[in-house]
Amino acid sequence: MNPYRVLKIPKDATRQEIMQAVPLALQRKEFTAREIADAQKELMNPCTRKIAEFVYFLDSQTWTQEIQSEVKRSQDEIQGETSIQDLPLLHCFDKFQGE
Amino acid sequence: MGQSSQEKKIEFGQSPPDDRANRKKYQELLEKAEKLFQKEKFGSARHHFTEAQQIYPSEELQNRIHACEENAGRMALAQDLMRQGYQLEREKKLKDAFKTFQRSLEAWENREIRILAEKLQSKLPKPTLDPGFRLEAERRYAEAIERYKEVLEWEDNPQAKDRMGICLVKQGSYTEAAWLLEQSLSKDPEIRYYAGYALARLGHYGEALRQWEMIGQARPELNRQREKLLEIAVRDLLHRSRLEGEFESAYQEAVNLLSCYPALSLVRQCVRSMRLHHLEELWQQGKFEAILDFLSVRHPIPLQESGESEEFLPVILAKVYYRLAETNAEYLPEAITFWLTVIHNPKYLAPFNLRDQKDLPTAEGQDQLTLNLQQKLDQLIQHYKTRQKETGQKKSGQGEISLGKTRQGETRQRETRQEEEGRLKEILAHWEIEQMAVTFLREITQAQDPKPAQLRHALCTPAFAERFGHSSSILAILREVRPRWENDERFWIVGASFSAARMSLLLLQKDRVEEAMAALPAQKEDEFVNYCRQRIFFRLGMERLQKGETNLKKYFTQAVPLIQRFKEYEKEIIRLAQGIGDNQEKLISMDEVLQVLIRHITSSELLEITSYIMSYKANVLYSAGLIKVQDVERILKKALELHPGNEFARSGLQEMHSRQALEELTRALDKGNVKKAATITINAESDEAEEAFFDFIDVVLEELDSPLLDREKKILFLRDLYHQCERVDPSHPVLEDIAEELKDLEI
Repeated sequence: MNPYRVLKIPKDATRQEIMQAVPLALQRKEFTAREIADAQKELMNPCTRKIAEFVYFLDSQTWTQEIQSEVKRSQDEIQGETSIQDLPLLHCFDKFQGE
Repeated sequence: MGQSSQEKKIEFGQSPPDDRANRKKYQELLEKAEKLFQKEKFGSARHHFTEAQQIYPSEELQNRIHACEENAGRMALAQDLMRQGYQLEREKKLKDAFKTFQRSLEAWENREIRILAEKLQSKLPKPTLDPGFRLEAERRYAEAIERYKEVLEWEDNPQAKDRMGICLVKQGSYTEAAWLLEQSLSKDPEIRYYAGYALARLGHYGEALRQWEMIGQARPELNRQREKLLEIAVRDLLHRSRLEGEFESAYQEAVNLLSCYPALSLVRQCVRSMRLHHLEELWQQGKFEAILDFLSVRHPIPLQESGESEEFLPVILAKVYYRLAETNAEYLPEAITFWLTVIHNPKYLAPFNLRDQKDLPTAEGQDQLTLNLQQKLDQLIQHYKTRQKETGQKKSGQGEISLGKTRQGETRQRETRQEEEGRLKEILAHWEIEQMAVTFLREITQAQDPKPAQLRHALCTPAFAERFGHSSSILAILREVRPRWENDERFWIVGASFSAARMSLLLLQKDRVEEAMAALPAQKEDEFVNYCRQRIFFRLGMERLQKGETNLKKYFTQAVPLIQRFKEYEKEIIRLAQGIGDNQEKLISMDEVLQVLIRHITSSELLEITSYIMSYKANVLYSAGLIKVQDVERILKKALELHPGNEFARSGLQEMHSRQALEELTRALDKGNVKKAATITINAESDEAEEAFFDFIDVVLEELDSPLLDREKKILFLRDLYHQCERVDPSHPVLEDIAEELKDLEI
């Protein structure tokens, strides 16, 4: 069972936030007291918490950080905030050059 | 004639009304309506279709009514335009009249009007492109477009279309311009440039760049614009992909762009970033199967083509399959494959261990994480094992309670249970192999000095290797490290699991030996395939041996290298031999197998068991009267040669000797040859023989009492008898009896 879902807390919740989430979860009565206690125990232990993180979060930022920095680096090279509307028409191919 | 004749007719009699009168009326109405429709009398046709619809409503009739209305509308428009055309012709406005007739023909084809339009056209001067060119040069694009349109109304003119497309771009009408210019077959750089520009402005970056690629690289200003467009495209697509409902089109566009520039890192990263973002969204919504569909892993595609990177695909798949397998065993095999690969391969796991930690991951930290994640998978598998056990118990309990249920239902339940058990058994076999392979490879990477770096990064399970084409490189590394590991059987199992014999090995693990044999590849040079072959032959041989089948030499001859290398196989044969009992067939086949093996393997354990099995077999066959004493003697002597400590053979041999002596003794005594009988008794050195001899003497002495016998002959016979008995046992009491008898006779 996903302990983060049981306690309705984000991935980066602190120990204090975990403790605070327990009575709220008990009030909601969506899960049994046992399940809530297990979730709390799992997240309070750094070792089991790491496993829970691995299992219940995709953690795409593990790879996107690198990707986005490359994309951003490239974007930074563009001078100004150019959009497609600002892309000028080149007339070097025109057969009928206007005045 | 008009287009109406091409439209599909309603087939009469389709679901007609039940009432006979109504049915007749319905069919009459349909027939009439169809005739009117063919005659292009759409108003009347519509009226009849509507009446029929009131009797028996149907979708087909409704479509027909719509067709009548649409055709009537177009026809009315065409007639109106035709009237206008006539009027313009009368006013001598021939050009306008021609245009109006053309429009009428577009609305509804009419042969009469077509002839009239052609006649008018022949009277009109043919429009040229020059006015359009002039206007275009003066940047009067709207007017130029009108001139080009005139030309196009006159005839299909590709150049007019191209010029019109360019003017439309300059006017900012990109959709129409792109539609016109994309159709153009001209390779003129001007046309290709404007086509590309229009497409770019519409957001079709891939297509736009393709158009510009046709121009080549000669123009530096275009090259600069191309680079700029790429950057704009990447930013725009990334932005669009995050807007609600826009992902699909933006992603397709990005993939399209990537197909134009597969080597361009920026585009690759753009596609990867979009994919990851989308995957994260799907994950958060719990749409795990949608992730699989998105990654198309059910229909594998080459990674490079999809712009995918190996680093995150296995990790995502491991997580997705694990989450799916939590509720559906169908996903368990893939979960095992990806999970084991990811948790054992530092390439995949290291980023997770690194995160949230300021220091670099230590080897112990990595091992601990792997161990914990391994336990997570073990728990999942244990969950299925327990669940099946519980289901089995519950079902069998239900069977006991519901005695009233049909036998058929129970059979079905049993079959389903067996199927589930079989499926789980297969998954467990897959798990064992996958786990053994990846942990053994890891052990090699940790123990090998120098460490095989390639293997460290190629650490994966056999199923993973097969799927992503790593098997041959892993096999090459295994062959390199063979000298150090070849005496560990895991080396061979793991090698076979990465070789062409993988499927065969899996079947063997599932105890489906015959299927494993059938699945065995033909390569005879591959050592891992050969290992698998030897195991299959061994298992087949053992199965048949247990059944007491004969002619098993071929199986064990093939398996000799395996038994020689790994003692466990020899022990297995010995255990089977020890428990074989006195079953005649089983003893014969076991002896046959052992005789083959001792030709190649001369371990004392194997020689000992062979010696015993030979002795037992000889004993059983002799008892069944199937072999002679001489054969038994020969076999027992051979058994003793193999293992001199075989007491069973030794005592058996002695027993055989005494039996042999008894047989000879009986024959000699039957013939009354006491001298020979005494000699046999002396040589036999057996109490049994001596007893038999003296029992015979007792009988002889009793018979001598007969008065019919001559006294002299009796004396002679008794003296000889005394002598022979004395030879056998000089202290035997019978000697006194004979001596007494002789004394009486001699007096």
